[in-house]
Amino acid sequence: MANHFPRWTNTLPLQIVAALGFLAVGVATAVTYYFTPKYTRVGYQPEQPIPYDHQLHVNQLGMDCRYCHSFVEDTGHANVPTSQTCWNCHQNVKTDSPLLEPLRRSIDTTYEDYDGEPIRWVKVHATPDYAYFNHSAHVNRGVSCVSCHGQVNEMEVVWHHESQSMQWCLDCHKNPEEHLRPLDHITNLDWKASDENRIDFHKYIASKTNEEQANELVPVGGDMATKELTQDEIGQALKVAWHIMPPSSLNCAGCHR
Amino acid sequence: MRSHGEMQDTPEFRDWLEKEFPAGAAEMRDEEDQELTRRSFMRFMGASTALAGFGVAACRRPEKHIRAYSRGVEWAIPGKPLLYATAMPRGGGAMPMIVVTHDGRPTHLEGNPHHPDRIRGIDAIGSASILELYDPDRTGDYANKGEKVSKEEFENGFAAWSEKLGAGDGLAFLVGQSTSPTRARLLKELSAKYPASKTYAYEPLSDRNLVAGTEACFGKGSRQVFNFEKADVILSIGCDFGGLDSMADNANAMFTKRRGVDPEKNPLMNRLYVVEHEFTMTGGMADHRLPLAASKQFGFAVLLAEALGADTGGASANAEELGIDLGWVKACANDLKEQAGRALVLGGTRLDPAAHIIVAAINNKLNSFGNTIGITTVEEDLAGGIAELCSAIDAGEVKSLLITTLADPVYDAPADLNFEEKLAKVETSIYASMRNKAQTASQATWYIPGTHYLESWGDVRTSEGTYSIVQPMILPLCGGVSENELFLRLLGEEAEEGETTPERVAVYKTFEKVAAEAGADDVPAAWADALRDGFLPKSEYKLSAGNYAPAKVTPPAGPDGIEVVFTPDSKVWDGRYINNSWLQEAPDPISKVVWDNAVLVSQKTLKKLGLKEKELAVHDSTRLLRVTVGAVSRVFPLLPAPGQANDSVSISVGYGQVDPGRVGSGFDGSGTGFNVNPMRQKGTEFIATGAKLELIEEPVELREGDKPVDRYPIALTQEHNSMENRALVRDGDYKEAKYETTKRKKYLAKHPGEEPPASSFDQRGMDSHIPPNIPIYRGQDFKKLHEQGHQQWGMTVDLNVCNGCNACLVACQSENNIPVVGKEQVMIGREMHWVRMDRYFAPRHEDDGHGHWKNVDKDLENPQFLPQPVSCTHCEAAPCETVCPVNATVHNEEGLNVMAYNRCIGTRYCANNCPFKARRFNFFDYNKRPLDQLYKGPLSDPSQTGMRESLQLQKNPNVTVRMRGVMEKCTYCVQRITEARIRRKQIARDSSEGLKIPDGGLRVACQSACAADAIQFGDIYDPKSRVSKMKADVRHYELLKYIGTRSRTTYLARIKNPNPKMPSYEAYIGKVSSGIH
Repeated sequence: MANHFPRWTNTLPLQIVAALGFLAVGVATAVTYYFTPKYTRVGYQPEQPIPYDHQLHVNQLGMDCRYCHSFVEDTGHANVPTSQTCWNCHQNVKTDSPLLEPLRRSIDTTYEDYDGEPIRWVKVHATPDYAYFNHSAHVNRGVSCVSCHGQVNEMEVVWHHESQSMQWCLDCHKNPEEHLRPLDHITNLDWKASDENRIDFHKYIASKTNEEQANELVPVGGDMATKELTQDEIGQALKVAWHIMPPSSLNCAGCHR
Repeated sequence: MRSHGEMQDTPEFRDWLEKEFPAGAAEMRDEEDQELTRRSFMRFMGASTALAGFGVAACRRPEKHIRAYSRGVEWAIPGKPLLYATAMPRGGGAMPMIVVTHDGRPTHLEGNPHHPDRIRGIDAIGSASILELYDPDRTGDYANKGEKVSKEEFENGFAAWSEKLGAGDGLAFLVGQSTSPTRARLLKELSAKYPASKTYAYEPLSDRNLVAGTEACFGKGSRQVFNFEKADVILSIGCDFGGLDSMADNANAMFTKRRGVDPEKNPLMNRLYVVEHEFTMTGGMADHRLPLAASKQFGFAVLLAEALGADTGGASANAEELGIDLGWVKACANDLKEQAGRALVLGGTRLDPAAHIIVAAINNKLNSFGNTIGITTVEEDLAGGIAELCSAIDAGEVKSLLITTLADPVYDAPADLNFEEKLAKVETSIYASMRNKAQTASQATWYIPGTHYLESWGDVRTSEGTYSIVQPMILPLCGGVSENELFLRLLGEEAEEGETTPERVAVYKTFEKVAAEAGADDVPAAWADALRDGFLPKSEYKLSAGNYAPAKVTPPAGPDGIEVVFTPDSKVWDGRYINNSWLQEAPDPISKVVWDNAVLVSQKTLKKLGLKEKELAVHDSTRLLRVTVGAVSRVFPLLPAPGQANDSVSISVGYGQVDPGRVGSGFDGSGTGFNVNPMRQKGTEFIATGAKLELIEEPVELREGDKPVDRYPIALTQEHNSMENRALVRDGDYKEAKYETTKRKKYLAKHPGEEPPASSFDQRGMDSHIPPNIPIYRGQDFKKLHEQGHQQWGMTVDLNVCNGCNACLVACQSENNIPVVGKEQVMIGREMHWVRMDRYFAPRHEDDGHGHWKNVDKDLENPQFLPQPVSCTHCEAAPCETVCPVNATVHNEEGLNVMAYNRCIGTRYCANNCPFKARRFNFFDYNKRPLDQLYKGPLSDPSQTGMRESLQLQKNPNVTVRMRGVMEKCTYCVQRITEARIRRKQIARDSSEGLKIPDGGLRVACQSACAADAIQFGDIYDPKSRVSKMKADVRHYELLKYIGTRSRTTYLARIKNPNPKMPSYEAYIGKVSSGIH
């Protein structure tokens, strides 16, 4: 009987299997990388109706985050400012800028296109509806804005800095000490652990716990007195001093209810 | 003992019990019924998979927007609820409440714990009234003769009409019952402006008979104010004061306050005697209960008056003819006499004024006036009730009629008045009410949409007289005009600048006077305080003992064969709540019927009528009964009713309305319940005697145009989720409780800090002889976690004060976004309530001489009634957690059994493994799909799909709205715990205060709804918390303790305080659970 199939077809099944194998690995890799929040969210930088420049307002003008996000310490939502808040300054500053037209439309009753409608800011960070994140529970307990939002003070246009996936949340909930800082530096996005004075910090910890525990957590004896503080030291000390117990990975109800 | 079915122990019932979910709950229904068959399902799946290929482009992040206010709103903080104090006007009183608003929309109502009348909680109707606000059937359309007209057209018509009024010749007002001082003032001003006008009042379920009796003895305008706290012995003659007869707004709170059993704190537990024709919530609380036909209750009052030597006004009664045990009457009379000055006798609102005169004579003899009853006078200038109005119309005296009552007189006025015809005779009739679907709305010349009490300014007094301001939470959702606003318009008042109505100014004007009377110096400050607190202090009625004068008694018609009693409905009241789905699905506390009414008949009577023994157990369909009163004959589904008097049947009013809206018509237009109003005539509005009963054998047309049937499908929540005979509700008598309490106190004094030995209440049923069960699954070390700072939450339910009123059930529904499922789904056991209100009937048992209790009341003629709310008990060793394949239900460090909805894949293993059957499964998208199209799935009418916009407004934003295929259950209001915990963190930031939530700093929804304070919630490892004190009580026990799941929610046994001198029955009172082994 003649050969109906050429010789090369002998290896075809093997080739197909190998190709499928590569394809499967490729797809799996692509999915695990591209379909995760790390890829889909980080870098998201939508265009806003008013190109509000955080870098300008925070770094150059020195405004605090809480001037606009005023209720962040009181409630779950870090509110976006009302048009009134913007208007406090902008009724006098840059009044003619065409960029501020949406603001004037919303608040300036003398403006010809005034309609009083709120500005349609585009949401950058969105938690899913089944996760109940609470800002006040974090900023009152030593977690800075920068931990979740990145250095917004350096962003001309805000972008999604962290993945904000559940895994990412839990990483911090398991090791909160990596992100804790003194309460007066919550909105200081440039703060570094080494900025903190060891002696003062020691005193603070001692006031919240006791001398013995403070010595153990923030040693000041001998050479230590002049040594720079590390994030680990500060975090560990604050964790003990403030009884930080974030809902653990066992406690689904911490965020889902 | 739980129900007829259980008592019969039929094979069907066993089968029913053994199924995990009652018949069909977990199964597909017939293919025939099925709109979406398996085959078409495959077709759809194929199509949608193919389409998915085109959908990739849609994978991009959807753009979401944040729209902050342009101008900030005072007090508004995004994400924080704002609380306001207000009150719900309720007939003869008010329900003070706290309104929770999120972003300007009211979402939840709670009792006002600071109210001086100590009303404490909120009842089911109060809680559910928020849903009325968001009723999707409200349109805000004006109508002329039932035809929709524009607002302008109406305004023109109204202006033309009001100009012609002149001095008010032929003008009549028909108003509802109200204690609003502003309304009283406006009515007075109206009669000054229109001196020839007349005012009539109408409520289908009013207390006019009681008022007539009181006025006969104390003079015009007198009212009785009852003080349940002062009463040591209470006798209720047909009065459901703890349930549907509102005798006092704080009746439940004050009555239960005196049910404490600690002899040191409450040396005299009160005692309650109840004489009633059917089981009521009050009857369930009774220490001694006597079933007696309502038409015989006048005779009972006379006999009691005779026994006490009180004035009977010439009336007499024959105990033998009435079938009343004179021994019962005498023993009761002696008890009352011994406690004279601290006794209270009440007559039901449905009794004839003559009965109220006799009751007043008894109370006078018992020295109750000035002690347990205060007398006050109110100003009221009424030309009469609806009967007087009808005669005036007949006499041609009424040309214009303005109806502002919330009742629907065309539907619910006594049938022989023929109000519909009368209304047609009136030249111009105007119906101004929130009920746009009422029949009066389509019959009147003009219909004016009304406003909800959460949308308008007003004021009201509670039954004790404390003044509350009713303040609007939101602008009227569909426009509309409130009663006060309408009156103000007639008076020619205009809204001040910046306000939409003149109501606020009018209320303020009344307030100035009331505040001056209450002794407030600074009126604006008092106004601000009253708005904040929800009441004006020291504004209660000035009470006196009154000047009692014996009145002449005209005895009412006596008993005549079988009587029919028309009772208020626990769900729809007089019919005004028929379109309220929460109430429709809240099971009747006694019969457990939802979405319907039925005729309640005693088992003995039914057997006499020829009902077979096995038909007494009603599962999903029931036989029909023709009830004939005079010339009117109607067919109703029947329900065997334990404890019903044998010669009395009762039917609740309010059902069977024509096109009452989507909910009221059962979603598919078939209607809910049956109309009794054609049987109610003038004089027999509440009790009709000489009725004939006939079992239906041949199919009859139940509702017009329906297929003839001989049975009716009825939805009861009763038979579902049965826990069988396991000493679930425990009880005892006062003697036992006192003995155990004293014993434990002695033990603890001798051995401080030690665990005392178990009390007799803790060792009932299986727990009396099964060694402690040690679970293999140990769970966490909660003691250690508590030391680390995790508070350990737990709950107790005091069954001694719980009367099964459903307040917790509805409050939970409101707080936790629980959907309703409709009658059909309830019938297959799929109701979603997180709190299940169980109730048990225990027939009388007697000692057979060998130490065994023997059932001597096989027909359940006078059983004991034991309600029990059950929700997830948060077992420390939870069986549900071990079987979840995806860890969707786990334990947290605070001892909560938590549910992660977004993780749940719907295997329902957890519900299988739950010994308390406390888990609820979303078999459908109840929130999203129209309830009559559940089985159509995605094929359902797209215009109906999705949650109604107005209902979305009610949802609590802090709780996930669950979707199809997800298991849910009580979460201990974890959103409230989390909020409270975060609040502590905020406080701790700048102060030295700890992170622990203080006891009482957190109240869960059911707890704050409970008027009886039966529910306690708190940290069980904190020995000072109220919940741990309750757990240390001798009456404390754990449900199904022997299976070793270590419940966090536990119960306290019910205690009865029987009178040892009563002639019968005391041997078994409070001994229901002691006979279970």
